[in-house]
Amino acid sequence: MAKPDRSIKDFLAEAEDILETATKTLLELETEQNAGRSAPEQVNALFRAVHSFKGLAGMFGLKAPSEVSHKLEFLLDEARLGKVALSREALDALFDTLSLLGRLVHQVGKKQEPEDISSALELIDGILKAKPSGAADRSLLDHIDIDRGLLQVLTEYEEYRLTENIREHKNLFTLKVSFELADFETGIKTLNEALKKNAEIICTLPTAGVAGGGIGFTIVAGAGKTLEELSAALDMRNVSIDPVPYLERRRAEEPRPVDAGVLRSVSNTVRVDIYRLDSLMSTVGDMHLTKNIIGRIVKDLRAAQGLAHLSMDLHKAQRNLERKLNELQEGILEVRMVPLGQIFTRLAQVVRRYAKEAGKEIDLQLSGEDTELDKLMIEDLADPIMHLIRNAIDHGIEPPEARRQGGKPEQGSVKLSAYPKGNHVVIAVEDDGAGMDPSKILAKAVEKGVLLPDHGLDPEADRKEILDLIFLPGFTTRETVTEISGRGVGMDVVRRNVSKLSGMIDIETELGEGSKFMLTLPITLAIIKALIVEAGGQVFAVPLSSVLEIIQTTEKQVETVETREVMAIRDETVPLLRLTQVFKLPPKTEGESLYLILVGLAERRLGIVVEGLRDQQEIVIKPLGKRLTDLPGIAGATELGDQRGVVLVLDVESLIEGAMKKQAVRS
Amino acid sequence: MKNVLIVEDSKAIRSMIRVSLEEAGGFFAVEAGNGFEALKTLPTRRFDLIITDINMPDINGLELIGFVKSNPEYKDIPLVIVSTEKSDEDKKRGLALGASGYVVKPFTKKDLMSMVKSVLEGK
Repeated sequence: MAKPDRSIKDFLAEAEDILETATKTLLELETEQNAGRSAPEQVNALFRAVHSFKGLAGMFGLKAPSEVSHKLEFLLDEARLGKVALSREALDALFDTLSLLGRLVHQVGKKQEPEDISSALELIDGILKAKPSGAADRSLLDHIDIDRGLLQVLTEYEEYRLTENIREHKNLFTLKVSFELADFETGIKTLNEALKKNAEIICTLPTAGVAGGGIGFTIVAGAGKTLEELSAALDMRNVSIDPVPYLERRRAEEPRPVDAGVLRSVSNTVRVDIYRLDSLMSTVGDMHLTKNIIGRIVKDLRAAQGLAHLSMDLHKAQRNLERKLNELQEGILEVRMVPLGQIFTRLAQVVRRYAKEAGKEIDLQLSGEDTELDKLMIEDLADPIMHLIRNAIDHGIEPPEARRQGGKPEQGSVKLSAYPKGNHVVIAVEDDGAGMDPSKILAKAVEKGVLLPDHGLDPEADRKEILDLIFLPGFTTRETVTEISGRGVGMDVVRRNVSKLSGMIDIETELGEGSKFMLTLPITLAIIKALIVEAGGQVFAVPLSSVLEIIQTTEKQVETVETREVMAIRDETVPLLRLTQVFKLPPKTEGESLYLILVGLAERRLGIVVEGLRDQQEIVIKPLGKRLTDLPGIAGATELGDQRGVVLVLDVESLIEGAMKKQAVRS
Repeated sequence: MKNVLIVEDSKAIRSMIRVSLEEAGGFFAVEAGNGFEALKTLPTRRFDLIITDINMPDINGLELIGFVKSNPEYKDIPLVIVSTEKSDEDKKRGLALGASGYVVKPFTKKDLMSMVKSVLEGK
């Protein structure tokens, strides 16, 4: 059997949470009703829970749970508005329906066919058809002396609650309170919490604050308590309470057994804040350090006279510790992983909408939804992927007529796929549209002023370089960036977002056949593997996720093109960067051999020249502290746990950025 | 550039509205996830338009409209309601309170933008 579908697990976890809350609320509602009290808050809470469940089931395309919850939501909406009475029979039906939803969820989890839901739907219809309890009687509002302007802003539900309070002869109050704009939220929430224990809050209306600047609130509340009791219970000096004049009262029924069925859980999911996992991960990083220190002691012991056996034992213990640490680390990483399907589903909906707006027929094919990636990264990826898909629909896929003429099916195809590749995940967006024409890109780049007219680029020979132009800021036609989210619409923003995640972008395009954008991302950013290198007598760490390959070469292979050092690597000319130059370190004097660390971010490549390679190690990047932040080329520092002590971690993104800028200035 | 305040408790719908505005161009959108956030955001800049949901916890859309319309500083800001077909009655109340128009969820970008444009031009 295939491995259990993770996204369905997500559904199960949330659906069970909601049903658990709903069932608890229903039990409270029943207790209140049995005690002869109405429980509007519980009815409203139950409505909201079922509303959420419906939304969730709908998102996962689960027909039976959707239908049942839709019907139930309708019933509860009517009930909270007093259009339907929640009689003994109605409560029984609610319990039964929640049990049914629980079973339906269970059946989803077990991949079984859903049971028949028709009788449940009929049952709810029956309640809806039963005699209404008497909808909101607005004439009751005439029985109280309250500011009429205040009544205007009530929603239907709030108005109904007010009339119910009047009907039940509750004491009504208006509470007035003012706060400073800076801290009103805490103030009003504290007051509401205290008030809820003693009264039903009917509405909270914001008003202009007294004496300018602040903000005021008028709260209308209904309570069984008198003005004195309520004032004493609240004990808040800045609140003024005024009674609102009023009118009669009523009773209710007996207990019923609890249905344990819905309380049983199908999945064993626990939800954890991702930041807690971050802190666990950081502890693991520190333990790795300690392990490295033990390694050093092992070496020292081995060298010492007569301590060889101790050294052996400690070595064994250290190896064991290492294995266990790796297991722990893998375990935590695994917990952080969520299937990409989470965003794929969201994207599929967006595609439908965009396609409709663009007047194109699009067949969206998804694959690799099970591929997993760090939760935090997934959130940051949604925007770039969405943008690539929109580009495919807007610019890639031709209008239906053009496609027909070109001998293609009218319906364009956009493929969104994901697959693991070593320690990376590749996400590809591929369309069967018009493809990109290098000469058109050149013309547009000149027109937009991102390239000088005498660029000297050849559409055939410099194809790759030309395709990279689309990532330049200013190339995109539409560019709106908001201060709020920092999210912009343009390929340069896509590149920036992907680089931030230490990812790379590659483009494949064929005129008339389509384009493919491939994002290659490391699986996680929490602990990174780094390559430890040496240059100018200093040790540096280079994040391995940015390293494409390591090339051992000689000074002779270095060429100079227009004062810039480059090296031909297969069919590509890669610009070089010497760490000794960047950090003003003494260059190595003797010896011809050198190492080239070929790094890449987004679509750009750079060769970092170093003199020596040490090893690869897991590192946790630590920030450098305030005074040293934003040092170009440095992402932070890390401890290696041996005599090398603290070393700097290179910021590949800013190094590439710097190198490209220099190139632009020179050319 | 028109400043627009979007008040909506669903993050997905909120950002969909923001993106629609941004794509149309000429708008700067600020998001508020509930009524309290809206109250805090209102004094931060001169808004040209408020787009608000009705069913929200704490302070709902009608209460927000009532606040805006009774406040001399904000009363000229036009408001557009976004709500579901379920809250038909509340929508009517919002219009009575002085909202300039409404869009029913689920709406298309086109529905939203033509309402926004007509409200801003009619002002």
